[in-house]
Amino acid sequence: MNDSRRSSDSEALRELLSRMPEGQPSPEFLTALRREFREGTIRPARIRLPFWRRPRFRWIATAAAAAAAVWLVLIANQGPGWQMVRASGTGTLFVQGQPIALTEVAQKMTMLRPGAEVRLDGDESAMLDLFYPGLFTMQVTPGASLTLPEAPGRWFGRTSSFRVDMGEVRVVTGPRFPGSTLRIDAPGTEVHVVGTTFAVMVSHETTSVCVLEGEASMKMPASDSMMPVPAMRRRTVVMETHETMEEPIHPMEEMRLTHLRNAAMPVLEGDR
Amino acid sequence: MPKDVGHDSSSEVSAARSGELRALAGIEPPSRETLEAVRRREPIALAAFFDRYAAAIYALAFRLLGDREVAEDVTQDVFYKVHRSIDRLDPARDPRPWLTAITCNTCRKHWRSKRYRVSRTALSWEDTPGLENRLPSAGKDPSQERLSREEVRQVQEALDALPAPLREAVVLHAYQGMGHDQIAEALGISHAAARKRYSRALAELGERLGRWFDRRREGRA
Repeated sequence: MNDSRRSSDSEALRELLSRMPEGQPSPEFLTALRREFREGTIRPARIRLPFWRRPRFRWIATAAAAAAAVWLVLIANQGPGWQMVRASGTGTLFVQGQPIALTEVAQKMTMLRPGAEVRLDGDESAMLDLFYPGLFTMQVTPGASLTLPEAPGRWFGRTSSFRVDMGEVRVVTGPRFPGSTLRIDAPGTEVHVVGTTFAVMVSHETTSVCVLEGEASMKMPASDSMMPVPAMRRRTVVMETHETMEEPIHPMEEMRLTHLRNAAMPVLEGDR
Repeated sequence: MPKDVGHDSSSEVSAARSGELRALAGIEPPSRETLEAVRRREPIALAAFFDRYAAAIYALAFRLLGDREVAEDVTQDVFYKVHRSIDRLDPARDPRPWLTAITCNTCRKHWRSKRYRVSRTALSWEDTPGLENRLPSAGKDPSQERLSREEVRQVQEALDALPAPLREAVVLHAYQGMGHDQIAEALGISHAAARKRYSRALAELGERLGRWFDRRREGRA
């Protein structure tokens, strides 16, 4: 728009607006408003914004949307729930003190929540194999007392921890585990694992870690430093003396871990 | 007492009430003494302040909103806000930009309000009952005689169709007679932005009100 035309249009608009009717406030309104302004009793007009335009609603809606987004991310980040591979032998699983016959565990999997305290009582044949699809398999042996770990998060919170108070627990990590960490608290030590096949054995006097493949780290009670436990080795901590010793893995344990790994990998890889 | 603090003359009050003082830009600011008295919330000074600006604020709101009742609500809100934040009034400065800013902000709040939007969407100029309440009929206002009812409708619709910032630019510049500097100060924007808004508004209005603009150009030629 050139200046001449702009000026002409501007004048035309000014003229047009000057010919528009003026609104007239009612005299009663002006008189009342003047009095209220003068006396300081003036109140705001009742401007009703639609509820979605009100500042409070917008603030609440924003906070709710943010909370919902966080909630969705947390839900989506959650790993899978426990699934059972097998429960064999004769025995009873105590979950938070409640007894469940091994033959009925499959029907009561909802009780096996992360953090639940479990204990397996039974003869030597009793065995419970649980797994998080793709992540890891856990084999609970008779006499074992532990808390169940949660599945590592998909994107964050990828450390999963649990406690072994007594007995033996064997673990095989799966193809989706890399990037995650397992932390096992056991009497007198702490074990960190980033991908391996291993067993944690707790007796009244000692805590041992046997590694079939990969590597685990074990905290030394005297120094708090982490000592590696390489493949085919077993490291034991004596709780009373804090003494540690490393030795080759026992042939029987090697056999059991190998058997578990061979059975677990197809399940973890979804070939079942 | 400052000389014009007590200026509560019947002529000014009646001017405000009759709507003679329409454009903020045309109103001389009160003296510093008066504004200081307003800051102290002295009743007579407050009344004088009201008389000086009420009609212009109402006129601005009415032209921006095109609705008599809503313009009254805006006027009430503006004076409520002025009273509440009178401490921010700088007696050394012209209060018109401050008042313009409060009025425009309050109008924007109304633009977003359910009542206003409903009233605009429900508006039918041909057969809506109570239309006379929205814009005065030609017979009631002498200035109206020069535009027919249909023409008023067209102009008001063209103004309503403008986005709020452009509508403010048009009303403040072409109707209130404010310069771009004053508009920029009141709206908290740059001088260039104020000019640009007015140019854009003029271009958009040209599409709807082209025949008036053409007539003007032909008259000039």
